[in-house]
Amino acid sequence: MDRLDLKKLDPNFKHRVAQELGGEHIRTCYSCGVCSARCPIEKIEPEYNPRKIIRMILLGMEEELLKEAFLWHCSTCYTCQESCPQQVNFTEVIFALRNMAVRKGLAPAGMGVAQNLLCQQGRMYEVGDFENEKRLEMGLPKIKGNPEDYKKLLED
Amino acid sequence: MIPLQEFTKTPKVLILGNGLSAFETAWQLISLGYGVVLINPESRIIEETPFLSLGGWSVQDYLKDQRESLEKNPNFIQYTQTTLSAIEGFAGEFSAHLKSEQKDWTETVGAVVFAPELVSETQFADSHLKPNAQIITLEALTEIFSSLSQSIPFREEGVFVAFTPHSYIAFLSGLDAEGNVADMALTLSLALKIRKEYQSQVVIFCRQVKVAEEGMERLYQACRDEGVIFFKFDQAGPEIIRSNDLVTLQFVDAILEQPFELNPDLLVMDSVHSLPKEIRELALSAQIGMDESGFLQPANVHLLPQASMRTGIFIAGSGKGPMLPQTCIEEARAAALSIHHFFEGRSAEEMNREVVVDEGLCTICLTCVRYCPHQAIGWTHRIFIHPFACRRCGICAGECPMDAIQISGYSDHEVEKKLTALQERRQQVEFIQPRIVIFGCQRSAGVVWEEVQSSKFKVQMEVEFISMPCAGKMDPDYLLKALALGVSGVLVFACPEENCKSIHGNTYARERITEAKRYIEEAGLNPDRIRFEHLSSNMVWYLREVVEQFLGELKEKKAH
Repeated sequence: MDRLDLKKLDPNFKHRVAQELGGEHIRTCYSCGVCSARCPIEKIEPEYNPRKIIRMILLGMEEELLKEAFLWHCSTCYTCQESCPQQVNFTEVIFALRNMAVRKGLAPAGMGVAQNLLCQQGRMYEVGDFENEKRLEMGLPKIKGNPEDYKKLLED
Repeated sequence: MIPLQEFTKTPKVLILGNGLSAFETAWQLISLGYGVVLINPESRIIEETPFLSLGGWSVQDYLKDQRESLEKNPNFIQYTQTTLSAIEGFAGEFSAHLKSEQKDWTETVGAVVFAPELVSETQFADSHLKPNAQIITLEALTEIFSSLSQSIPFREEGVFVAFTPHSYIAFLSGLDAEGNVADMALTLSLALKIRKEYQSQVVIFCRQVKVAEEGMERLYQACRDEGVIFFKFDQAGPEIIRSNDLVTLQFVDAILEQPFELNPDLLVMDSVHSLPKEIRELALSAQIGMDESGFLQPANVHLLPQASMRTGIFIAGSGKGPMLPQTCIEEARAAALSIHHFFEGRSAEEMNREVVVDEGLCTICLTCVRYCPHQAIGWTHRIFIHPFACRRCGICAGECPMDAIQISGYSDHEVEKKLTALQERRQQVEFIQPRIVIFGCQRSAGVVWEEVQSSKFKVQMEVEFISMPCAGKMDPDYLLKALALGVSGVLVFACPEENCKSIHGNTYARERITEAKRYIEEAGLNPDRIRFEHLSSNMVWYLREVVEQFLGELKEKKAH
């Protein structure tokens, strides 16, 4: 690994994360590592490591972090958040980081496709005539996506 | 015998030191009605010492108030530029030899308190650095900040050049040795101040963030909230590379396993703290004991926080290692109470009826004086045991070549009577098994033996226990006597190392037993019939194990 100059990193990154919704408690972390120890994703994908992600935030490694694909590996199971002794709320921090990445245009390509789907049909999975007929047989109401709401939500 | 009423307690206390703990101890003792003599080798005024305290109170103001009210008190005498050259005598009436530039004189005091301030040595030489505008000690930076009045937010000279929003200040704290909470408190308070007032980036390099004091956890959290960066290291800290005027720190972050470097605009280094040389020498000559790192009070669990190895000599404050001002005050108050307890404690008439020196037998060889771990034995034209200083460990009685010192309850006569009683019982019982006798310290083996007897473990007929006040009382004569009475084996139990209430009792016992084994072998007997073991008071299983194993060995030998 290349040696990084601490001065070239952004010391205000952690403060910006703290201003995001959900990132408020990021600076209370004292790197105990409970989040990483209990994370089910970390066991399959060792490169996704909550403790390392927090450390990167605290050291100001914004560029390095936001472009990483592992930011999107989190399944938001909230195990880390439940076990944190310092109430860092790491799952919320992940949301905050993802929001920051999207704003910088660093979201993975799949995210764009998902967004288009939502805007077109108001659902991730298309509900067609076949499904609605089945529902009618079972006495359930018809489902209609409302893309207008999502367009409103996602315009940014 | 010296009449017991000659042993008195002079209600006057000598305090060494000029810091917070010295003045607080003096103040508390004055309030308790004692006379205080405070001596200080320097003329430095204590308020000049830099302090940053936690919890918003000013150490300087506190000290100033205390000094002013003390100096008005007629019971308080202070000598500056005065040293203590020697302490003679015993608890209750020490002769303290004092020395100043003008004169030498002796003060008689009942108790002595060591309340020294530590001296700090820089570590620049170890790191091949020289102090300059970019490199400074923690103490120097503290001094700069504590002399600043709050209304001056910025100065464009000296270290203040480094305090800009884009600069990086690096603190190296507790990297070469185990850090301490006092330095950590200074480091964190300064880091917080710099972050808040100058917005510079602060990076702290340490082994551990020591927060075991009131308010420290809060301070640490405040630093993290302000964005101070911490790098922690297991062993080696950052590598310091110096080229011309540029200092570079190279290190690997333990969490990311990522190498980093930093050219700090200001490098703050901690110092090594130690006792002043004259205090160290005095502690050695007065035999009050020191620990491995050269601070006062040896590592022994039996010593109360303010006690030294000698009765009547107490320790208060940072002589035991760097401390926060608030802890110094607590220490000083505890020391004053310990001293009060000593003065209010039992008088000479009530104490020491138990130790007797037979003047007919004593040849004044002074073996006892040399061996006593509590400095409790003195001599004029005869040996006397000082009632306040003696802690009845019996080491002197064990060592005395003439057996002139006897402790009631444990005298040679009484021990021999117990051994003969065994002999008589042996004749009554049908005797097939080998028998063993256990000698043990009442504090460890004695407790274990009681436990063994009350537990389900059946006490075997062939094992007998004789209690000793301390393993140091163990006289090799008892071993020989036991063997002469036909006992198959002798076990001696002493407390674990560094855990002897009489400091060296267990070591003395070990040495004596080893020697005894050697001359038993020379006499043609099997030295394995004697065994020495360390035992602590909760090791019942170990006593059983050793006894069973020892019995097994003896039986095997008998069979051959």
